[in-house]
Amino acid sequence: MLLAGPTVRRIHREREMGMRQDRELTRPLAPAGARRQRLAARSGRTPSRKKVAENAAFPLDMATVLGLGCDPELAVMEGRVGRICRRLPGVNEPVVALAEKRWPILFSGPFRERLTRSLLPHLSGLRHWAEAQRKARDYADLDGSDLAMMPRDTEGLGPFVHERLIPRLRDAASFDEEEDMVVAESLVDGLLTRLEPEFAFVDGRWYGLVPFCGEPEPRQPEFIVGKNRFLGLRAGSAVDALARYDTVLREVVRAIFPAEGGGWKERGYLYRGKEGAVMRTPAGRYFACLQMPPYVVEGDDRKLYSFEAAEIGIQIVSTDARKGIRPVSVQVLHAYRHMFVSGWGGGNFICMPRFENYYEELSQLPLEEALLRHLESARMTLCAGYTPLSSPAHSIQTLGRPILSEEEAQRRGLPIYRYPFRAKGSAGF
Amino acid sequence: MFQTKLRYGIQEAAVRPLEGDEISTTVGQQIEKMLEKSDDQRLRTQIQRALEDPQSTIEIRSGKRVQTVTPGMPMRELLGADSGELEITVSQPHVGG
Repeated sequence: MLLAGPTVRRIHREREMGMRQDRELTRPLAPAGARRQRLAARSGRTPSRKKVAENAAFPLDMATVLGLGCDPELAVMEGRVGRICRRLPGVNEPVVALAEKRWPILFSGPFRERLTRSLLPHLSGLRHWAEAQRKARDYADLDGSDLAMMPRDTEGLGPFVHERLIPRLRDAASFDEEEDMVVAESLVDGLLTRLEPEFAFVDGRWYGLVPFCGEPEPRQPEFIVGKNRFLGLRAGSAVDALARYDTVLREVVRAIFPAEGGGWKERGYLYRGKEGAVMRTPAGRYFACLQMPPYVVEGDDRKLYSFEAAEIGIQIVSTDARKGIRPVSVQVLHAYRHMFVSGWGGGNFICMPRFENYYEELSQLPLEEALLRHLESARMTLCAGYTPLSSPAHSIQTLGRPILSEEEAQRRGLPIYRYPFRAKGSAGF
Repeated sequence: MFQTKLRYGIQEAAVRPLEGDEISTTVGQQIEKMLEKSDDQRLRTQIQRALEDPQSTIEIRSGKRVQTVTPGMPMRELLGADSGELEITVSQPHVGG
């Protein structure tokens, strides 16, 4: 069965009308609460409700950044991070002497590296949190005025976007990895200047370590690395220390992200690479987006029509590919005159009929892959979909597009998508 | 030296360097050579089928420049710089409306 033209538009409208917002959108949260509760239980204290509420709004906590999930007891000394093991120490092993016991510290690498590694996967969430504090957003028209059309299946969209879609886009864009590394390094610099240079979490307590020579007081916690000795002169509960560190993390994030400047990060993007992007509108709709460079389409009159760069996007309405990917689901995110875009204002849909086996194939793929393939298909529809078999909403001659000569198009480096005058034997869908 | 990548839509089919003497080959011949390196039989079949369809599109990206080409075009005409990355994208026909 072939879905095409007015039919798919009607089906799309009907399906859209059936959608409504049932609950508030959620964002992915690191499982901070559970970890903090465990630490609190170990230290015999319960974190206050206020602290838990504050942290719930922030997508990351310092327990995660420090890696306390893997190394629940650790020491940061001389720029390295090490795990405190509950066993007898070997000869010349770095140790912590606590009360009558001595446990070895197994150093695993530079503290800076651990911080960077921990922060990198969370940058988009942190950026989003920082952006949520600001009001200015473009592309607000994508939300329209009818919030009743918000999708019902919003649970899991945030985690999908941050944990699968953005990493998939990042795979294809080393450029952004480099950019993210710069941002992560800035965050790490901010943290390292605000945290104590030497500290440890052990036995449900936090210790600020101070270099020391001489004989310590009896029962004074002592950390020994080779010939260097540190005393845990400052001490407190692990929970309070982590709450303080979380505040530091929030302040550093708040300071770093606005400093990245305006541009796309001000416009509600969670991620923007060379081609792909992910956006969250003010009302909380997620869009997977694709940027298209300028191009030229040959008309059936053999003239070359110039089209400016465009950004197209598909709203992620469900974590089920079968629900969100339809013949009329990709939008041009701004005003754009094109043969296959029904209206010319912002947010209008691209009509791209496909056979049912196309959607069947997409539904078998991971959602992020399906979304990106459908967007690529939409890009090709705009660029190369003008054929004898197409049924455009507008004639190419009525769009008011500039007409270029072959030489001018080549001089500008624009790709020319030819009209297949003599093509035969292809269904074309 | 060019590192050449062959894609079918957004799917990567093969990556191989373009040797000096291959500059005189055509786009179609280069794609065939790259397909020999591809382990994905399904992708190979899809690309070969697309190459037979005159409504399919072949794009070549070199840096920021994108060109549409035909299988018969010589690679020499498409290489701008002395080295870099070259991405050949084969797309099945897409119709709008």
